[in-house]
Amino acid sequence: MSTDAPAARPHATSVAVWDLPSPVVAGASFTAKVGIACEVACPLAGQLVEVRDEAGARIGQGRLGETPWPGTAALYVAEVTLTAPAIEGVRSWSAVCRAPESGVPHADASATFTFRVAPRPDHRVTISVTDKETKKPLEDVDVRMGPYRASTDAGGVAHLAVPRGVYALDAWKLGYETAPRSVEVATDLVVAVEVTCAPETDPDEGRVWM
Amino acid sequence: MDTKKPVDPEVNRRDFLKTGATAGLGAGALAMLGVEEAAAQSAAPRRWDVTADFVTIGAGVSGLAAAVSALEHGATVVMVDENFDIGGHGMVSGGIVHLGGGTSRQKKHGVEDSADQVFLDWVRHDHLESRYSDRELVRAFADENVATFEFLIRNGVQFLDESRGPEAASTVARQGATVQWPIKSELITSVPSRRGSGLVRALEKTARAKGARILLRHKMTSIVRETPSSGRVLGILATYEGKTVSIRGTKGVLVATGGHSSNVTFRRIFDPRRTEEYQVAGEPYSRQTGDGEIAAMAVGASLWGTANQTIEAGMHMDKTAHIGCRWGYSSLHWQPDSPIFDRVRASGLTRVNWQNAILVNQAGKRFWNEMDDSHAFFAAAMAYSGNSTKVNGGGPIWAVFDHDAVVRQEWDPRPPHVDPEYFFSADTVAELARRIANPYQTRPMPAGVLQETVARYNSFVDSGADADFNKPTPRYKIQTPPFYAAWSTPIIHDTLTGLRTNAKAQVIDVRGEVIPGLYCAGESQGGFAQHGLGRATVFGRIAGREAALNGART
Repeated sequence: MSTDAPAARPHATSVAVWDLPSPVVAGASFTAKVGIACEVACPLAGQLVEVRDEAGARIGQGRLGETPWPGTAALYVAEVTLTAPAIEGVRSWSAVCRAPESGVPHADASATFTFRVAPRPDHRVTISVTDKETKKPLEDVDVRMGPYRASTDAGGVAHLAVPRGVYALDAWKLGYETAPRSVEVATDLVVAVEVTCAPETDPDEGRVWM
Repeated sequence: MDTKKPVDPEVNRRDFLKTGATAGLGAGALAMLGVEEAAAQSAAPRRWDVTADFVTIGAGVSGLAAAVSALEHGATVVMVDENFDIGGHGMVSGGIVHLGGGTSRQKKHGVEDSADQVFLDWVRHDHLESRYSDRELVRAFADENVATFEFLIRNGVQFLDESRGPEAASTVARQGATVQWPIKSELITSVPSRRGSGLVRALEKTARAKGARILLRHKMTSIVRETPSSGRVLGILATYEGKTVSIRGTKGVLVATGGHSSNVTFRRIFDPRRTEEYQVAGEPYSRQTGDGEIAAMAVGASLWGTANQTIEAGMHMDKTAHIGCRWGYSSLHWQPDSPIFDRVRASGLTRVNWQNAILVNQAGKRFWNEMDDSHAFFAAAMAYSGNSTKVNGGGPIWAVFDHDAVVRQEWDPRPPHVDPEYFFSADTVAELARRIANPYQTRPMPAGVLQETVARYNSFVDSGADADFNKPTPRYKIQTPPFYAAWSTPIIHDTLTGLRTNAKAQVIDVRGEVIPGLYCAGESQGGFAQHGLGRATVFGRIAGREAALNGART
C-alpha cells in the first residue's frame, strides 16, 4: 500500500489514546493504549511510541503490536505503562510517534490526552441501582460521585472507592432519569438509588409536523 | 374541464408550433427564473390543450382541498403536479390539522371553543407565531375552521379519536391527527406516524370520484395573464415529457405549490444564512420549489407577511434526529421499504442522544451545547465558521463519536443505515477529519483542529464541566477507535411566508389590487405562520369555493 502514497512527501500518521482510567489515584501505576495509523495503511508493527508529560519529558514508551486493532483498517497498538503524578487535577499528556529511521518516510505525529488525578481513597461505596417502577436492578448505569465513576453490573451494583468527604451522587442511563443527591462518606457505605424510566422519544412518534 | 370534446395534446402542440402563439416559443430574452417568458407575452395560446373551470397548480393538501371544494360547488377541475404522485409534503407529514372553533371532535372531547377564540388566539401579540399575522386572514380562517373540519370528515378524512393541544398560539386543544392511509402500496413511507397520507389520499379519492382530472409529472412553467401586469389570469403552461401543455382555467387558477423552502435563492431573500447545505423536511419526496410564488410574481403578485419567515419560533428549523444520512428530519424516518429509497439512500442512525457525540462545524470546532435545541443552537450552527470562501451559512455540521458510542446506541454504522457521502469512519480522529469528503464541505476539515477539539472535550469529561458551551455533565470521552463523523446539519422546515391574498384567497398584486382569476393557499400563501395542515385546508377550501361560485366575475 505504501507505493500508492505520493513520493514527494512522507506519509502522514496519526494517534489515538484510549482505555486509560480516569480518575487515577495519585502515584498509582496505570496503562493506556496508544494506537498509530498511517494515512495509506502502512504496517507499523514494531515502531516505538512515547508518552510525554506537560513538560515534554518522556515518561513511558512501548512498541506497536503485530496486528491492527479490531474494527480498524490499520491502527497498530502499544500498551504503555504509566505512573500518575502526585499532584491532583486534570493532567494533559501527549503520545508521540516518531518517524522510523529507515523504510518508507513517515511524518511524526502526536496527540494529547487527559486524565484526572485524584487522592487515594479511604472508603468503599457500594451503589445499588433499581428501576423505581419495577424494582428490578439496572445494568450499565453510569454512577458518579464527584470525579469518581463506575458502571453498574448485571446485578445493578457499582463499587466506588473514594476519599472521605461529601459528594454529589449522580446515576445516569439512557432512557432513565434521577435527581442528583448529596452523600457524605465517612465510612464504607451502601447506597440504594432508584431511577425513573423516561424513555427516549421515538422520533417517529414524537413531534410531528404539518 | 371540457370533457365533451377532449383535446388531442399532440394536435394542439403542433398548432402552437405552427402559430408561434405558445408562450414556450421565442426563448432567450426573457428567461429569468425560467418562468418569465410566457408571463411577458400578452397573447394567450390560440387554443388550449386542456380546459376546466378551475386549475390547481399542485395536488398537495391545499390543492386537493380546493379541488374538492370547487367540485362540490359545481366546477370542473384539473390539477397539475410535477411529482409522480399526489400529496406533496402532506403525503409524508404527521397529519396534524390545527382546526378548532367548536368542531364535532372538540365537542366530543368536551373542549369549549369558538371562532372568536380562534381569532383572538391567532392574533395574540405575546406569541411569536401569531404576532405578525395578517388579522384579516386570521378572521377568515377562524370563521371557516368548523366548516373545514366537517368538510374533511364529509370527504373521507378520518381523525384519531383524541384531543391534542393546546399548542402554539392556541389556548385550547384544537389539533387533530389524521389516520394514516391503510393501503401500504399507496404510501411513500410505511413509518406509522406519516398520517398525512390519510388526508391526501382520502381527498384524492373524493376528487377523482367527483370528476377531477389529475395530471401528474406536469410541471407548471408559467401563469398566463391577459397582459403581464393587468387583466385576468387565463390559465397556465406546463411541461410534460418535454412538451408544453396549455391549461385553461375559466373560473380560476390556484397556486398550491407548497412553499419555497427548497429554493435556496428564494429562501435567502428572507434569511441570507439559509444557504445550500440545509436539507428541507419532507424532501426528497417533494420539493418546495417556490415555483408558484415566482410565477405569480411574474404576473404582478405581491409577497406578504414576510416577518413570519424569521420569527425563530415553532417549526422554523429542526435538529437532525437521524444522522449519517441526507434526510434526517425528526419524525420522518425513511425506511428501505419506501418506494423512493433509491433517492433517500440511507435511513440514518437514529434516536441519537447527544451525550454520545459532539457536534462540530466544517472547521472541526464545536459551536454550541449539543443538548440544546433552541433557536440559539441553530444560530450558532449557521454562524460564520472562518471559511472565507463561504461567509454565509454555517456549512455542514458533523456529529463526531467513537466506537463506544456506537455500542451504547446499539447502532449498525453500515448501509442502508448510513450514506457513504454523508458518513465517514477512520482509525484516528485526525484521519477522520481527512476522510470527510462531501459536496457541502467546501474545504477540508483541518485534522489538527478536530483532534484538538476532541481532546479538549475529553478534558471536560475528566473535569465534569463543559467550560466552552456548558453542556450538562459531559459523560463520555470520544477516544476508542474507530471514530465516526455523521452528517447532522440542521433542517429547514415550514415555509411561513408567501403570496399576498385577501380573505377569499384571491392573490393581490404589488399595487394592492386583486389579480382576477388567481388564487393561492397552503404554504405558498403569506400572512399567517401557523404550523400544520389547518391553514392549508381552510384557504384551499375557500379558494375552490370562491372560484367555483364567483371566479368568472372576479
